[in-house]
Amino acid sequence: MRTLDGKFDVSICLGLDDATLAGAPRKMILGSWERLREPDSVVIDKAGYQLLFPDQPLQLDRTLELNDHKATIVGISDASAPFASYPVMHARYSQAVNFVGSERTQLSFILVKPQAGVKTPELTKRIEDTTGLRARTSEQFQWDCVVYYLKHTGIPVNFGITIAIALIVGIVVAGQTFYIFTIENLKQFGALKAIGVTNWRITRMIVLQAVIVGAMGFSIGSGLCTVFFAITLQNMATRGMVLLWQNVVGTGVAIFVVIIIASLISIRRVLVLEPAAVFRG
Amino acid sequence: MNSELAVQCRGVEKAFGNGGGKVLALRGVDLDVRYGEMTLLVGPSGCGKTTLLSVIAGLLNSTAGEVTVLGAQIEQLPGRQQILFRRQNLGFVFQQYNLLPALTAAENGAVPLLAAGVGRRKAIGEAKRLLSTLGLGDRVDALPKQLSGGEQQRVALTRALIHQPRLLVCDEPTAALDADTGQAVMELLAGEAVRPERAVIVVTHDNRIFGFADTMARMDDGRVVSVESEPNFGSEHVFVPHQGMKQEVRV
Repeated sequence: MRTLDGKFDVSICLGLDDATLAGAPRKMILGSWERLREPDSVVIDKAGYQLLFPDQPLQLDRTLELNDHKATIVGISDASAPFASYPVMHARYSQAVNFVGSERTQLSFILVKPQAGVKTPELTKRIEDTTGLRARTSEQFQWDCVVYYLKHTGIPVNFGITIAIALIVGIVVAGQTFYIFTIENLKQFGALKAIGVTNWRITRMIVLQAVIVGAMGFSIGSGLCTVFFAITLQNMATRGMVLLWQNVVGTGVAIFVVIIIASLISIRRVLVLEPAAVFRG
Repeated sequence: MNSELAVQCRGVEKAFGNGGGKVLALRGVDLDVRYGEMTLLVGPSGCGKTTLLSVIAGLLNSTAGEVTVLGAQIEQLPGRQQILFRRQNLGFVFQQYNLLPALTAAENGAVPLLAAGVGRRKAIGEAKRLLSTLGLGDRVDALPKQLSGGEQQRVALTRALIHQPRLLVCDEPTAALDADTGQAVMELLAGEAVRPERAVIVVTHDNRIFGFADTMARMDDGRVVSVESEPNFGSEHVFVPHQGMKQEVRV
C-alpha cells in the first residue's frame, strides 16, 4: 500500500460479503459503510490512516495505491487493533480480491454465525462438506489465531523466556531476601518457640508476612502496569497492547507461587530451629 | 516431690554428639529450686549453666536422670503438651532481650497472652499495666530500637511475667547492661518476680548481682559443686573466678 506522496506500508485487507457487508467493524469514525459499494473503495482504520498521513486531519476521498490498484478512502473506522500494528482496511470481497491480485485459492475459510435453532457444529460441517472451505465461528476463529501464534511464531518462546526469567529472578530475590530476614530474626523466632509459640503459628506468621509483602508488590506492580497500558492505549501504534484481567489474575497467581516458595525456604529454617538456641550467645 | 520444690533435678546428664566427639555438658546434676526464692546458677563459662537451664525449661532433653518441674516430668510430656506447659507455666528472660523489632513495647510484652489466645485489646492492656508497674508507662508505644538496653530488658521482664508463670528462667539478664542498669533490673526482678507461688532461676556469672540470691548453686565442669542458701555476700566475700573467667575480686 502506498500513498501518493510516497509513504508505503504493509497492510491487512479484509474482504466483506459483497451483498451484506457482514463482518465490518461496528464503529465508524468518519464516512459510511454504504460507500463501500462504490468502485475501488476502502475503509481504513484510524491507526492506519495516522500512520499513512501523520499529523493530518481525518479526511475522506483520499487516494491510495494498493498493488498497483487505485483505492479511495470512503470511511475511517475504529477497528480492533491487530497484534501487529499494520493498517487494517476493509473492502468488499470482490474488491479485496482485486486488490490482492490473482491467487489460486482466494478463500480459505468462512466466518459463520448460525441462526436461532441451528447448531454450530452442524452448520460448519454442512458448509465444509458443501464447499470444502473451513467454516468457523468468531470464537473459534479467535482461538485459531491464538493457536497460530503459539504454534507457528517465536512469540511464545520470546515471551516465555522473559516470563521464566522474571519468575526465576523473583523467586531467587524474594527467597533470598526473606531468608536473610529469617536468619536475622532467628533469635526472635527461637524466643517465640521457647515461650511456647507453636511451629504452626510461626509458620502462619511467616506466610502472613510474605503474603502482605507480596500483596504490596503485586499492587504496586499492577498499578504501574495499568498506567503503562493506559499510556500505550493512547498511542495508535501500540493500542493493540491491552492488559486483560486474565493477565492480572495470572500475575497474581505467579506472585503467590513465588512468595510461597520463598516462605518455604525460610520456614524450613525456623522449623528445625531448636528453641534452646536462644540461650546461646 | 517436696511441695516446696518448684524444680528437682536428680542425676541429670546431658551429652552432645556421639562416639569420639561426645561431650558431656552435665555430669549428674542434683539441684532443688524452691518456690518463693531466687536461685542463682553461677560458674565459669562452659560449666553447663545454660545447658541445665535449657533442660529445666524443657528446651533440651537430658540424656539421663530425672527432671521434675512444677510437679511434672517435663521431659515425659508429648511435644505439644510440653509447648503448652512452657507457655502456661514458664517465663523467659534472655541475655539479648530477643524482642520482636516490629512490635511496640506493649505488643512485645503481650506476646505470651496473644500466643495463649487472649484477645488483643485485653492482652495489650495488661502489658501496658505491667509496663507501668516496671516504670515504662510512657514508653509503651516505643519500638525496641527506640529503647535503651535497660528499658528493653524491662520489656522482656514484662513479657516473662505477664502470664503469671510459676517458674521464671533468666539467662544472664544483666550481661548486656552496665552496672547501674543491671542493678536496677535485678531490683525489679527481685521485687516484682519473686513471689511465694513462683520460683526464679537466674543463670549468671556477674558477681555484682550475687547479693540478690536466696540460694546460689555453683557449677563447675557439668556438676553442681555447692549450694548456699541465703549466702552471705558481705564485704569479706571474695569471688574467685574459675578458669576462663575474667578475674574480679570484690572486697
